[in-house]
Amino acid sequence: MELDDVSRKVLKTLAQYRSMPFLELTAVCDIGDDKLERIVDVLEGKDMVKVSNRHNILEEVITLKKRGLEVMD
Amino acid sequence: MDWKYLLAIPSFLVGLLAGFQGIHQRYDEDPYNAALTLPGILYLLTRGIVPAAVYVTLYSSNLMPNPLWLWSLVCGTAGTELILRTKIFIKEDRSAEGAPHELMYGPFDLLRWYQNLFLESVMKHLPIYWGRWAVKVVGEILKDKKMTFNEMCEKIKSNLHFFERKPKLHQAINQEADKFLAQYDMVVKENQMTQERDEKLRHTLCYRILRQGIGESGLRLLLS
Repeated sequence: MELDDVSRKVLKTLAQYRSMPFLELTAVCDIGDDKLERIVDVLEGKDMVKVSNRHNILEEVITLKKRGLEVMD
Repeated sequence: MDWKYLLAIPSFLVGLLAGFQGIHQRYDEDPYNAALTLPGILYLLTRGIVPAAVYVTLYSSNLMPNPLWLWSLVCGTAGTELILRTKIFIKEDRSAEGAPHELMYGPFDLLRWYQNLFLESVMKHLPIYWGRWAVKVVGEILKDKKMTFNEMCEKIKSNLHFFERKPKLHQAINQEADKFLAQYDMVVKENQMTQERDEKLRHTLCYRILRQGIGESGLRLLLS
């Protein structure tokens, strides 16, 4: 599956932790909010991650789905 | 030994299954691992022990009719459920709109509280639910603490001595705080600090500190 390096970095981090608050993910991957939001949108569209509490960045949680995990294996 | 006491086992198993249903409802993405965490096991055991104890008590008091195996199952399902769902009238209360309603509590409220006590703590043991747990914990802690990011860092630094006996944890927290302080200083220098950014930094630092395995009580201690 075609994924750019930054998206792979996000997936790799999620593969390590499985579930992370959005803000923690920005810090660990060293990516800005807007860019990460776009990446997460794409990954969600590919059914690789699940996004909870999208309306509130302080409570937003990203969880790696089985498909995302398979891509990283 | 009276072997009929062993008929408490079906009661125990049915209670255990009812407990597992509660775990499955809440942790539908990973119910088996949730059940195998320490709080999950403790919860399931206690959910099994209660109906088993009801059976043993009734049998030893000669209050258990025949067939015993059937009543053992009843203890595990209907009997215990019936007791748990009993509600006791406390008082008549009024809602915000002034409409009267009856304030009633019963063993089921106690069960719900008890279930929450155990099942909430399952969350932090499951990587797939860790994010939700962290968001909940940090949200609750920071809701009561009215402080800026800078004040929060000062507090963390001054309370770090609580973790001197755990040098690795002490160092990891200190490093995280320094890293975020450097970011904060940069943003302030660029004159771009806003209340929203400050709030994001506070939350993010708390998530990173929680990730070190400090636990909710540890984070509360650091911010006290």
